[in-house]
Amino acid sequence: MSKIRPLSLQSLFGKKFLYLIVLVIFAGLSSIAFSVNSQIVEQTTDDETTSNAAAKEKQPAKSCCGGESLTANQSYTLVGSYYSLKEGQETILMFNNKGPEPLAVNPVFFSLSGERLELPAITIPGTSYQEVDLRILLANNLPQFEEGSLQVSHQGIRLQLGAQFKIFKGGMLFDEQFVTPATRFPSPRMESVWWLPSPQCDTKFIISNTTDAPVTATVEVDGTAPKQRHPATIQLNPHQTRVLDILRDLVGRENGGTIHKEGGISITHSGAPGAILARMLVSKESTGYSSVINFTDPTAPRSSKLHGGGLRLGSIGGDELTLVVVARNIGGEPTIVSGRIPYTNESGDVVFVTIPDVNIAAGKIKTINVERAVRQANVPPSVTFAGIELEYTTAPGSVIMSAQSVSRSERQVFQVPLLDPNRMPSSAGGFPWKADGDYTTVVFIKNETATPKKYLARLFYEGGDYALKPREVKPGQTMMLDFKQMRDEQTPDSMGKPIPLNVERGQIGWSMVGADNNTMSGRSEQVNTTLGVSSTYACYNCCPDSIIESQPSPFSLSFDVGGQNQFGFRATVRNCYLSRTFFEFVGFDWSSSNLSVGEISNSGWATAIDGGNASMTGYFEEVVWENNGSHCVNQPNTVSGSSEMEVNCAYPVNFRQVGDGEDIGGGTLRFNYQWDSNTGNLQHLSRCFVGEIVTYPGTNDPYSPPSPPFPDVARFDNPTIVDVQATAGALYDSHRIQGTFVRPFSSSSFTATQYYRYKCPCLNRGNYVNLTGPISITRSVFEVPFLGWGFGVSKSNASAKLLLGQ
Amino acid sequence: MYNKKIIFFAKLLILAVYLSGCGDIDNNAVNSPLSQKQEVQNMSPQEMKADNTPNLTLNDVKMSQNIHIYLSLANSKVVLYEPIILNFVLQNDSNQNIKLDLGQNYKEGFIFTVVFPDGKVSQLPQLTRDGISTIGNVLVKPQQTYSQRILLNEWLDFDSTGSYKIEGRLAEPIKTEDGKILAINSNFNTTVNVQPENAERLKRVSAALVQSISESDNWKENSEAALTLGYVRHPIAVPFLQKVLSSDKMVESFAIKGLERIGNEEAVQVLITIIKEKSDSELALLSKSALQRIENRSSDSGIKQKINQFLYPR
Repeated sequence: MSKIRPLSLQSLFGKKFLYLIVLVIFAGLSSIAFSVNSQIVEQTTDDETTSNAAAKEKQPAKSCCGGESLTANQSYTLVGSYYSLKEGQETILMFNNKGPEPLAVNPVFFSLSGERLELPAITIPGTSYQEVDLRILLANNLPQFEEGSLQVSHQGIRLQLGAQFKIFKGGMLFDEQFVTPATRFPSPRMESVWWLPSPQCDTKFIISNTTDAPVTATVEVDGTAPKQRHPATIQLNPHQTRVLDILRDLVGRENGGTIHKEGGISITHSGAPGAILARMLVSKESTGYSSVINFTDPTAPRSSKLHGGGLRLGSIGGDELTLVVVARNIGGEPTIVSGRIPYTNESGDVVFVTIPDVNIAAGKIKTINVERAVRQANVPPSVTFAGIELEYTTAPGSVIMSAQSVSRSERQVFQVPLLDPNRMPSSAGGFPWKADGDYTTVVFIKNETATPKKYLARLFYEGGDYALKPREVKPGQTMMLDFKQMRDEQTPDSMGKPIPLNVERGQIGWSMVGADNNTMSGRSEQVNTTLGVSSTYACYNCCPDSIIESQPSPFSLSFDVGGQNQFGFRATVRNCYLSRTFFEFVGFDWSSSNLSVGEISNSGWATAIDGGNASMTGYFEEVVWENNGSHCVNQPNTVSGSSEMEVNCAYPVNFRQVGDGEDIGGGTLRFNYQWDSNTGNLQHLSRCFVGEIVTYPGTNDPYSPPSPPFPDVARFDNPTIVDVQATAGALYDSHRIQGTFVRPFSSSSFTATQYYRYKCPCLNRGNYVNLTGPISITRSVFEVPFLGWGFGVSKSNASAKLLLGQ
Repeated sequence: MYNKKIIFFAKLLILAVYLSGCGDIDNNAVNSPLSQKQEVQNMSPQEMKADNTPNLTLNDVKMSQNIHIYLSLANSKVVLYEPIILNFVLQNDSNQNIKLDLGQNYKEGFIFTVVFPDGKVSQLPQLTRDGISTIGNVLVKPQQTYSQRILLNEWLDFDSTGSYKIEGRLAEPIKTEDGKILAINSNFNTTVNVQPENAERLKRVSAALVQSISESDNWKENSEAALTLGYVRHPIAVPFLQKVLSSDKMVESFAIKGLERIGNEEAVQVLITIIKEKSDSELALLSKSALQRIENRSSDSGIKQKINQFLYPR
């Protein structure tokens, strides 16, 4: 079949037909009564410069990430091992394009017997995902192609495209994320472990030849009664897929038998790396339980550890969840499995639940009672998810494990993909985001190391994007992001904008921030609690996101005294497929050019101190990630930037006398004055002073009033200058005279002149500004009829008097 | 007979008229100043104690209504001319707001009686002054504490060595917010041991105060430190006061007062330098006044002559 030029679904079927497709998809999903999950994660390493292991592999790309010049027209092929439209099953094919430009995808279907059907290219818009109903896509090729496998190829960058099958039947769901088989399965060995809620489950074993050559597979089954006597040998023609009954076709029991709750399958084959893909589908129609048992290559792990993020705890929709972890020792030595469950408590601390050691003899399978460990640890009911970290004592790859949370009704199943923390893919990825109706897509991001890490996440949607502030993840911590909740609550992003309420689909992108790649894992979980549907998807990027083209942000800002604001850097975050988003970052080592105007913390939190201008200078580390042919490497570049801070001056206003002057006894006249701040907050006047200057007759300093009759010790600084801090907002002004009046008394007086004033460094060049004045303060000794002599002090129509006697 | 009675009643009437303006201070008339709010904290006495130096003395004066006054000396052993700091803490363990009236500048409300080393007893005059002052009304909420540093040298010079027993009390009773008197017995006491002059120690104390001023941008803290430094009445403090004058922390007036208290030739020279360098500034005006007062009180003819020559050149 000759290739056809790239063609979009719309051009294939027209707008009305596309609309019909969408309707069909909705109708199919709406009828689901319960859910099934599968666990598939495309675990790759950075030495996989060439990820295409399918037969028509091209030359390896030298670079997948970085420079603008990268157009990266390398051909890649992804394989999905099994879809079905038989016996009431429906299959949705999802494409996820993480690049900014539309991507042409060439689908090649293979029937069960390996017949080839090459369809016109489907164009997936940039930075988005698209779902296709295979019953419609293959309408002209049924029933021949109602069951089989699919290879999709595209020109682009490694891991730019993600694809997924979702097979629905009667409310059950089996999903499969497409893989590059040779990358996933570099050796001819494949191993699995299963757990069934009960022996009454239906099981199917799927095995598919991904190559153009015949392959012979040898399949050993452990976990049936009666036992398999001899390994089954299965011949597969090029691209042939076989759907087999475990008891009948692998164990050789035509008339039934029992499949144990725990078991495993081992496969060896004669083909090239990745020539075989295999899966096991488990379902129980009576309860709605369904799961997909995936295979792993036991030669791939680098450590004896398996980690997973997003282990569901507690209950969902009132349906209590039980944790199930099953381990199969495929090595020749006894092993001990142990582990822990890190969860985040209400205080934000990471708490670890220890999983007790479990001994597993060589060749044996055991269910690990994680549930009991969690119950005994009294994990608070508010904790709904956690991570899981398992390890074993024997060689890497010698133990196969799986983890899932199953509800008591078996209607809800959440499987947790387990990864080797020493063989993490690049710590960046992209997932479809579906939030229409009752659908929610949450993202789990887990720190797989013992040191804190940072990540950033964003949501692309038609017409915009939403960029979260970079967040820290503690050692072992799993974070959950729910963009639907952020949309519904209109939570602003790092740029201050919310997700529009009418946005229901988009693409999530995440990436670690920093220099340590391969330290965090991320996956998405699509959940519909009403329908009981959930599925998991993990698609990693070729390299972490680059952070480039930073500029200080904001460039300038005007404050009132006391105002606070964050200064930072606005930078472009570019994933390795060149999709771009603006983010706000904090920066470091911020400093102020004028501390009397504004202070700033190391992390850029600025506080306006006093009127004036100051430059705030900080540093930011840009980083460009590139693939050097075998690994992602980063090139950090520390840049500095300055923002201008303008602080509006705060100064006292509304200076006023409160009440009348008061004679408080002893010849003391007291006034009360108050004032406000022009900013409305007296604390903003912390660098201002309100005071007085009082001058006395003559030029003598100190001024000594005539004695007698005034006290001979009376002295007044001339001028008297006194200030109080303006934040007080009020002051007393007391006028009196110190000492004992001196006889002989006689009439005498002197008058001082007073001004109230203030000074602020940001105003009038820091010099005083008069508030009120001149005000006369007169002190006098005078004759009091019949009583002798008195002293009086008067000011502003008030006076205080003291009788001196004869 | 009638004339005498008329004259007596007339005197009473005139006296009443003259005294008609007198009355109790309305302590509730003005809100407590915001600048003091930062001192009202949720701190336990244990935390307060932990903040102090190891050799402090701590008196806990339990009062009625679950109100406690804690008094501690920053240092119970000081040397001559070293500032003496008293930490006053009031803890409100009651369930209602209480008000303190600490008078002018939060100082007038403390009354101290001192037993001098020679056994002489004297009640020190309250710290009042003519002119403007902040209003020492403080509101202490339930379970909060109010703390204040008291520089005892503002009341007394402590100019001889020996043991000083200091009894203090609040001039005004502690009241509820609506004026009900809660506790009257607010007496507290402590002992200060003044040891002989030690220039090195005074130098260290002065240096620490200057460093604290240079490191802080909090005016209140800096003003307290500068005021304290101004009471190191020893020539060793002059260069430190000079540093404060150039600190640009708006506490220069305290340093000028300090130089005036020392009043030696070096202090005079610093003041003259300020007047020369900042001739049209407020600091120059304050320095000039300080020089005049030094000149008035000094018995040193050399100093008098130096000031005269500068202020009144021929």
